[in-house]
Amino acid sequence: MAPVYFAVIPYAAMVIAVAGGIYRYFADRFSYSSFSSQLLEDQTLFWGSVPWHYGITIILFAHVIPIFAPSLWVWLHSDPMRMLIFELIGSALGLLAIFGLLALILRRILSRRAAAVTSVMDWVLLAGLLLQVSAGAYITLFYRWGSMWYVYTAAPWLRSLFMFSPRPDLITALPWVVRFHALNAFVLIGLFPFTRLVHIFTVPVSYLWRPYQVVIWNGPGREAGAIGTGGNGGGVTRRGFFRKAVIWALSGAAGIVTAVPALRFIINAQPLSGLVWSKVGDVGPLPVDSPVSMNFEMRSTEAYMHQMVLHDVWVVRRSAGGFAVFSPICPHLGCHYKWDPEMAHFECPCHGSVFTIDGRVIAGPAPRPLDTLPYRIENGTLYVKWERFQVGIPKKVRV
Amino acid sequence: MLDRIWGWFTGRWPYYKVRDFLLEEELPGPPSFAYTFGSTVLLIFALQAATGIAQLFYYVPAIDHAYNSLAFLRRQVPFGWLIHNLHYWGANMMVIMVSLHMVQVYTWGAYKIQLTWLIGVVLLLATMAMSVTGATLPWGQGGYWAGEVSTSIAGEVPVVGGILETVMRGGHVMGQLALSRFFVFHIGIFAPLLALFIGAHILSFRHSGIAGPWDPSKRAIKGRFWPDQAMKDVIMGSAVFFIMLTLSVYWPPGFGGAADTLNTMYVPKPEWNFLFIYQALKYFRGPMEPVGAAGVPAVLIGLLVLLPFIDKSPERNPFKRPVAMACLLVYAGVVIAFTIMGYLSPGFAQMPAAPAKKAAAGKVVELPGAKKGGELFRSQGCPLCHRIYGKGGTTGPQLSGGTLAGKSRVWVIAQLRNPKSHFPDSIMPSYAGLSGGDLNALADYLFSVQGGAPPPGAPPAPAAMAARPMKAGPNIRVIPPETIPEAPSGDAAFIVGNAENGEELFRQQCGSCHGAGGRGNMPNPGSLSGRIPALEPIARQLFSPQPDIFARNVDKYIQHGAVPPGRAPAFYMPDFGDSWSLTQQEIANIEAYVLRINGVDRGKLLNPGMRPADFFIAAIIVFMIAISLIVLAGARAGRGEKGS
Repeated sequence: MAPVYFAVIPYAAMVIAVAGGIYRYFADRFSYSSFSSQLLEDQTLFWGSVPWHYGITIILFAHVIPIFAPSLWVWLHSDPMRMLIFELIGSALGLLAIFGLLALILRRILSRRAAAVTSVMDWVLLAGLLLQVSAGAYITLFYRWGSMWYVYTAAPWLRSLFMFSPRPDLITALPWVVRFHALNAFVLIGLFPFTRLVHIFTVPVSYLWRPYQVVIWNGPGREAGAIGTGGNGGGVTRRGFFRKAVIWALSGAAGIVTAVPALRFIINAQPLSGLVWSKVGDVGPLPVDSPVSMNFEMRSTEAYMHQMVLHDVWVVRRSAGGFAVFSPICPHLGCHYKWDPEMAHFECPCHGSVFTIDGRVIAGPAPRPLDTLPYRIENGTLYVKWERFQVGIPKKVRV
Repeated sequence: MLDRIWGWFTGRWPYYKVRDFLLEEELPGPPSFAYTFGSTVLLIFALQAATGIAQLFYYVPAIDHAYNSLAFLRRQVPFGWLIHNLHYWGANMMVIMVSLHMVQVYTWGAYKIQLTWLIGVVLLLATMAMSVTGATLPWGQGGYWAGEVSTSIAGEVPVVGGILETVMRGGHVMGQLALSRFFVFHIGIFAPLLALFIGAHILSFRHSGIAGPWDPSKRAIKGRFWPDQAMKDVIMGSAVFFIMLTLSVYWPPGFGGAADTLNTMYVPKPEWNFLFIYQALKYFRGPMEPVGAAGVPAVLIGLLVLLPFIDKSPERNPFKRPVAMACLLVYAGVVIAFTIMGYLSPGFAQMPAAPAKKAAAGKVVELPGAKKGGELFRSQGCPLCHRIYGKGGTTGPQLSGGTLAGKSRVWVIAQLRNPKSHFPDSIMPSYAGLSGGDLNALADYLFSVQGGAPPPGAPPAPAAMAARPMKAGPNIRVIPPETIPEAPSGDAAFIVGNAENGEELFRQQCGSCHGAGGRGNMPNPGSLSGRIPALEPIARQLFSPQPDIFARNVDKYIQHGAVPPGRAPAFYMPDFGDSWSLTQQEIANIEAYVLRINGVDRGKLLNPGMRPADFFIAAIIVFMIAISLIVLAGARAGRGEKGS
């Protein structure tokens, strides 16, 4: 039965909610309201309505966010203290909502005026909501850390529903209270067009663009002119101010949302691929204390290019034993220097830096000695790790 | 100080005049959301230009690097996914918004301002041209075929077709020169043209005026563009932008696989906005095809061009223009119906394979590969065991005369690849080393001999030639096992493949040994383990959560094959890459599939800058802040109103 409960019924409920909601909107538009009975009774209403709406709205958001941003939610709960705080806030809001709902129910029972305008559907709705928040509170208290396990169980199920690839199996293994909570949620969604729940969509958003309205007190004292009618003075400019605020705020938001990623997209240093040992050649015939330029081929990966490239290094067999392998790039500004056999030093043709056979700077603007590369010798064959260093600075920093 | 700099600037440049020209516009009638489509198109165009230019920092218009450079941009450059996905969805959204804009203009009777409408038609064509040229640039499967087909359609236009095709392709085939041209057309010609004509469009309606409401009493109320209409434009634009953002985060375009002309498992179908032409062209066959190719678009465009000259009546109220509204319904209805039909049609490449059925009826059919298949049947030593028309060995069953009745081509090829997949006790050797084309030819041959007797004039049955000893086994390359670990991975390892296509290819090429979904556990007598390794779950040493490393590990086996350790393994992994049985693109698709069944996404973002879902939350927060600022501004304005 799981597919029926957790795939068929949810979709049916959503279809009923959307189709019924649209139908009711066009067929009976003035019923799109909360049918507030505030004017009949407003003392208990305050203690019921305010806690209920604050509690349930925030809790609903807490149910929705993990569906669409699970990673953010997990990150928020990754610290035990943070998770504890979230759980506490959630439990408090849940209790607040239950308190408010009970007050609302009692009010409809006890206040004769409120009871008179309460329909059967209202009672059904109130009962459904009470069951829903009670089950939610029960889960919070007896299946601890729901704000965490929700992300891995029910949230993926809800997400699968919205992605049109329902996965009822994700929820079937959960305790019956949780399954009831999930099923009842969709029953309430299905009730949406038949009850006063439609007032969720009458939140007055259109005041952003509707024409300027003058609100006047139409009760006693109006004729006496105790309260002004607003008048026209400055109305146009204030309205203009508001509209410009809309324009700049929204364009600014869209601009930030595109420009910041675009900058990050352009300011991007791609890390070089991992260093590998490249086979350079036989060290047997190398002369002592006389640098030799050796070429070698290596597989290079840069971004999406994978190819064999040729590099060269200066190799010196030292009379004291051992070798030195120099990068052929001048540490001053990146030119290719060369060995002058007559003067017995390295010389850079660009700016005249001069280096000894050990790589020390003896003249010119070079800020540091020649860069050595890591090498190893195996069975008389030289292997080198090709590296690049930042030029123009006294420190040898790999790029 | 700032004032002085500003004064210096405005004294030399007509800033205030330009601003007033742009913003001070009197509208006939009150501002309305119905007029926001045009400005939304303008906004999307700006976004397309920005994201398009940004992509040029990384994209390379070369056939060997286009696909990989774009995959790099999308996966390894921070926010590359966002820039690319916004461009992708912006392109789709632009077509939608242009269509809505045209429907609105038509309904309001605004096309009666003739020149503005005509420039609009040019803009529509330029948008479609951007759509075609842009889709081709990634040089993936979808775009490649869209380019191939659209240039071929242009080539079928009578008289000038040849020149058109040459201009579009830079030659006669879709290759590097064609890609260069699509690139230049996209960014160098159509994009500036679009910008230019958008400017002309705006100047035109500012000069001739906009139509406004059809009701003259409503037209008497004068509206202002700034800030009244502009605010509605911005609200609509932000909503569309937010939709594009949501789509980019939660519905990113997939990786379609690199362009590959040899991959027969791929069914080319145009993007949704060209499906109606694709469907319409199906009704023009044979000699009529050029008529359809040139005629269908010409008629559709011609109607739009002629519209303001056909309908010259000044009446603009849609309720008093029944004929015009009926025409709109028919025009839109035909386009939408053809689009849906095109979407639902299976595509030509998926036509059901009829031969098996025909053969079952005892009728002999000529299949294209039958001749080559007959030669293969002989050269591979099949007649040693199988009889055709009564001649040949008796170890295996006779293959002519309806033995294959009811068997599909897929079944036959699976049987050739891995005989044990159907008959676990079969001693028939595997012919998995043959290429897909050869296997298809063999199947063609086998289907063509399903009749009881050779057709008159048919080549003699090959059994007579079957004297060759079979000691060396089937004619496939033997790969020495020790070469495997050293061999490098091939090009395929660096291509982000298409897992859906990979699944098809896997079923066709690999499923007979590795089992459906890679879960198979087929016997492999003679090998040390006695089993062909399953791929789901794959051997631990090959697995990696990093898709690029995982793909490289799998790639070595698909490229170079592998012989399992053991005395005389009956099956070994063929070298699909080295033997050219599969293209590198196909191997990449199979790798994407193998990764997927092991829970790794080949197209996973490696350096997203910010996780898409988190970025979405951040964007919502930014917009929330903007909205709270608006509410604050509203409260301030409201208090001012009350207080006066």
